[in-house]
Amino acid sequence: MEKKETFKIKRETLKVSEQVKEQLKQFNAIRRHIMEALGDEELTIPQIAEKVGLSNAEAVYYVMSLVKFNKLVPTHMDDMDEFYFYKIKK
Amino acid sequence: MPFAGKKLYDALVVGGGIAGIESALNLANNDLNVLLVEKDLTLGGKMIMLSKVFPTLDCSACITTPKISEAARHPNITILTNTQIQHIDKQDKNYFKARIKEKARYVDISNCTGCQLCEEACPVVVPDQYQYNMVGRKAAYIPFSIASPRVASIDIDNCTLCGACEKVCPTGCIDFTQQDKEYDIIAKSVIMATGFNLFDPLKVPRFSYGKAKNVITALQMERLLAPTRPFNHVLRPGDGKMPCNIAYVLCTGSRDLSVGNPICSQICCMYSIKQAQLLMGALPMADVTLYYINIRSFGKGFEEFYEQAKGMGVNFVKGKVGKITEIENGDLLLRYEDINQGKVFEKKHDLVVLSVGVLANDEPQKLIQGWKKDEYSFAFQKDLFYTPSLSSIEGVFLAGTTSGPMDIPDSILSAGSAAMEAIRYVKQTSVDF
Repeated sequence: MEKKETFKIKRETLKVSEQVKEQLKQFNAIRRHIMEALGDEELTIPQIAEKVGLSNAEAVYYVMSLVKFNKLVPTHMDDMDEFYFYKIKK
Repeated sequence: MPFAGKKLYDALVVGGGIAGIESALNLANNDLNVLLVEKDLTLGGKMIMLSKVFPTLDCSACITTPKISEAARHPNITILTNTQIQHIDKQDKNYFKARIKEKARYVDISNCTGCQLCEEACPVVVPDQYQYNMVGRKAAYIPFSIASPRVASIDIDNCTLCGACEKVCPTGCIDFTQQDKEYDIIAKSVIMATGFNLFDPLKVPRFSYGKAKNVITALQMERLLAPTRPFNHVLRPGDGKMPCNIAYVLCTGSRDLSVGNPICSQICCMYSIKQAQLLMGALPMADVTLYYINIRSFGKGFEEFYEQAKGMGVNFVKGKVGKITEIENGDLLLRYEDINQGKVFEKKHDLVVLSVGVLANDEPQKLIQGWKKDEYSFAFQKDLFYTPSLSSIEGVFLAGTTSGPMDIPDSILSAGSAAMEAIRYVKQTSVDF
């Protein structure tokens, strides 16, 4: 077997858990919702949370993860200097 | 230096934090062969996770990484990361036999360039333990940018075996056929540098940690302040708001018989003062208040550092916090007794940092027979004043916080002392293999 397919060998001995598959599905769904909510707009985390139906704390986790993975970028702060706005990285 | 199946060492150093690295360097510079074993994916221990050090405010990583590089390049030091010691047995002739288990990374570290293409390709996102779960990481990942070795690893428990990482890897270093390996090695001496554990604030439910999202630990704040921070600024994990009124609760889980830890952690006062100063720089408009029982600024330059914080405008309240309650908008109400006034007050803050205490790591007693503990579960020191590095077992030496709470300079001094004792022991003990 060629070197670049060792993951197939591992599949024979390791079954991926349903929990891992479910987590992946959930993250992808939430990422899609966040990207759709943002579109061409710039939103704060509470605004994203409200649009997507997440708690504020969950929205922080997902938005910051997407910033880390270069999908979103922070732009500027609101007038009260409390919240950053985030937009999709083009 | 790669492992390459070598079996005999002058010293086995258990733990790759600052004390373990310092011990290994001292031993290696005196021509001893050292095996340094770290259970984590990277060297550096807790120190590499810190933002700055007190009282000098030097960059923590800037002190740690040169030492790590020196150890990694040293011809007399062999480093194994992601490796656990299973057990250490003292043999008849003053040497030790250790069984070590090198866990599979599913990456050939000699070929990995740290390009992170696997990380980009990986679709899985799970909480990042190196950022205290405040942000996600991939299942194929490098722990953080200054990790050493800076190579990828596959979190097999969360991997979907989609093969995306393997397909994009330019050097073909991803290898899912890797398996855990176990070896036996022989060492003439052992240095225990297993570090400490932090108090788990979930054990104090009245502080609402875990329930109120804007109650965090000081280690989480270290990450928020570090250049490799999880967020783009110092922000509340509860809603991403920039905090403007921050409270520190000192002695969380230390000097507290009700949680079974009556001793002072020795570092909480000063790291809280350090963070307060850093916050005054990062958030110039913020109020920072420290609730303390006593400020113990006992080390060189500590009192001046404390005075400097007061001069910068940090509020110090001699008060014991009884309860933290989450109120509207994720803000927090602190109920505390002002010790000077003898009255109970309540004050609102928008972020609370728990300055958690230091606890003993009970790992060494699981590894080796004959290990004795002191009354607080730290390593028993045979002679605290004259030879503090000697453990209850001849040939096993104590470095850093294995023997008790201490700050970074003291850990480094202790590591040097342990190395000198080990050198003396190895040179004096003639071992015939």
